[in-house]
Amino acid sequence: MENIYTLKKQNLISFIKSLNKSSDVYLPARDNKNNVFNFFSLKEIEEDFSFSSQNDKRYSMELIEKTRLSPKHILFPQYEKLLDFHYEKNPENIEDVKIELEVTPPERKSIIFGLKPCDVQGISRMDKVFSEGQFTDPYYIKRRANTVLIAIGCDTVFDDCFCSMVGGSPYNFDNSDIGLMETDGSYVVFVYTDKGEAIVENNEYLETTSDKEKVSLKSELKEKDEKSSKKIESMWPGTKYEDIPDIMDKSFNLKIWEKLTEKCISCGACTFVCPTCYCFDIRDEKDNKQGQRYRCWDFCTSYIYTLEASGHNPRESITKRYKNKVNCKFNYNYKRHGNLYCVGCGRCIDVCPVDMDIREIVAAILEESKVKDK
Amino acid sequence: MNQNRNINEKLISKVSEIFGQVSLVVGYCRGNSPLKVSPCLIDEKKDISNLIFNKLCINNLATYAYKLSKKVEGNIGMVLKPCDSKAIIQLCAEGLIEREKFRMITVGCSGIIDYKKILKEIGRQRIISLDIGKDNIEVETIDGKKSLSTKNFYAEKCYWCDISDNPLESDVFIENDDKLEVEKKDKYADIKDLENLSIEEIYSYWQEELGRCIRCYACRNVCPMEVCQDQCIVHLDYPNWESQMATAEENKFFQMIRVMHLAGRCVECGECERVCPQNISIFKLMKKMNQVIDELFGFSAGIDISQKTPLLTYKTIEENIEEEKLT
Repeated sequence: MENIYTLKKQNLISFIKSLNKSSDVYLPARDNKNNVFNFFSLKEIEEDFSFSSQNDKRYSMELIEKTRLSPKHILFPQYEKLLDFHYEKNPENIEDVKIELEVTPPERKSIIFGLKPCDVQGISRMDKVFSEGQFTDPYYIKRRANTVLIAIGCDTVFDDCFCSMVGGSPYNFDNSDIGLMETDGSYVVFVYTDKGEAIVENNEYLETTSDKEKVSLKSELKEKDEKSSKKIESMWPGTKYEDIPDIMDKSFNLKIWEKLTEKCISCGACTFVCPTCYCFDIRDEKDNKQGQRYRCWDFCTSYIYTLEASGHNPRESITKRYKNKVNCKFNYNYKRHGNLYCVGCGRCIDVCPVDMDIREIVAAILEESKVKDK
Repeated sequence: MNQNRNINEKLISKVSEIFGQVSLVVGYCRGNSPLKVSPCLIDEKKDISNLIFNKLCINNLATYAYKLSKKVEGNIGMVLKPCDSKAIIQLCAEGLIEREKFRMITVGCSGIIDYKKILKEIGRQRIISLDIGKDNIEVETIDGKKSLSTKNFYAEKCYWCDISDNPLESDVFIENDDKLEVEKKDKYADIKDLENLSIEEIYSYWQEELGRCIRCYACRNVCPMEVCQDQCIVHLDYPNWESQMATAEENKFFQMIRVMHLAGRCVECGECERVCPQNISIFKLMKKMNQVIDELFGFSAGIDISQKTPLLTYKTIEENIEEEKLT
């Protein structure tokens, strides 16, 4: 299924509002009061929201910049209740225990509007983790099935953008349900999936295109993609991203790791803003005979992450922890799922308190491994 | 930027001089964007020339003091701004590090520019160049050039700083020809504003602020005084003091733990607020507690190595605490 429509720029707002009727629309908005720029649910901020930034409303939509947090929290919340439990014990017979469990799977239908292509790539990586292999995650899968992804191509490339270094590009709409390309007076709406078609079907603001137009719009998209990719200069010229996993394997014991990672302060800022970091912890909290099981984000740079009950910690030093983090993204998950688990959004670089730069670290490892090869 | 070159040269030559006495130097190097500098740990003589010092050196490098003191054999040189040196003083006063192990290379400071304020002004953009002058900051982005008035872009702590040219403790002092010239601000102005609100308004203020915390622990980990982060009570399972559910309530509790833990210890470097990905104004909490400690005990952290933090010791009679009021 592939279809192409056009949407006049002045109709964008009405278009988004029409989507918000049957689903919850999430969109990138700046909270001008607190200077925070993240994905917000339109229904939650509607009262004090404007689509234009030239306004004194608290929230305003913005489609050019990248949000501070990745949109992963919409599909994989910071904390999430998995089940409620309640139990009764028979005082006469200790083996007689009654346990009641209650599971409430997420039902909400949502549309995420204004995703960057790297954000969509991030979500596609999450999909593989939670829905492939022996163990699948019903909560994520349910939520994901009810979510439509609308991406918008990037004409502006920021200091920390590096999608084209890890196999993406600023106009790559793979895995999106719908992709938007900005042209002079309108947006071109590329619909790639049935899910996408279902939400725009018969939408009064979209205009159909002829077969001839479709062909030329497709080639325009391709052209834009190639052109915008070139804006990003590779920090590892000469190395193909597919080759990085094997180089990482060979480089595991290089001494340089220590030098590259020793300034890390082991916080979780990079992990929590990352669109592909999926680690979580599961905990039970109970009060007397009832309570709940929930999961919450966890981060591998933390000392406690690998601390064992015995007191032994296999990744005691930050070097070991950070090396694992880089390998998780550039090696292990490539072998497991066939993709690098870094999509080049650069959010980790933006938020790092001590200016760690994953591009520089990978570049230094690639360089050092070449020296070693000689 | 001549001034910068001058101070960089002085710094590099001083560090080269003492390099034999120390096996590692913690300093600032060029960062990954024109707006940022990066902390760097130098253990080879050839890398000393990478050191820089300019108005963007906002990190408090004393953050590394405690961990490195456990790890590094030999002495450690540390490039510090006069305000950062307070953290070293406080760590020494508490016996967490040994004064002899550190060579404090203190650089006179003409005020630090807060890159977050610049970003707020220009938006996140591709920055081509940045030139910070005495009066103006010239930023060139892909959208064109912009001139900002330097005096509005200093880090908040600079507006009440009175030790910029006069560190309380140092081994090597590098004088800066540039001096800090700012219009002084009241340190507690924002706290007063908050305290003028009703209880309900203050409650909803913090509900909103900490409601957006994602519990990344950057504030805790960047703090030079929070040395027990690997054994933090927040992560304890038995007893489970603190839920990992990042609700506003739990996040407030987490900050409460931090505030109590830093009572009389916080040296007000403001790093916690700087590193917050969600721009939560947690520095206010720290300042408030310090104000209370000052009122009760007449004590400020990071001033005197020989003075004990009031909550780490006791007096049989506290002059400013009326005991009958406590019961």
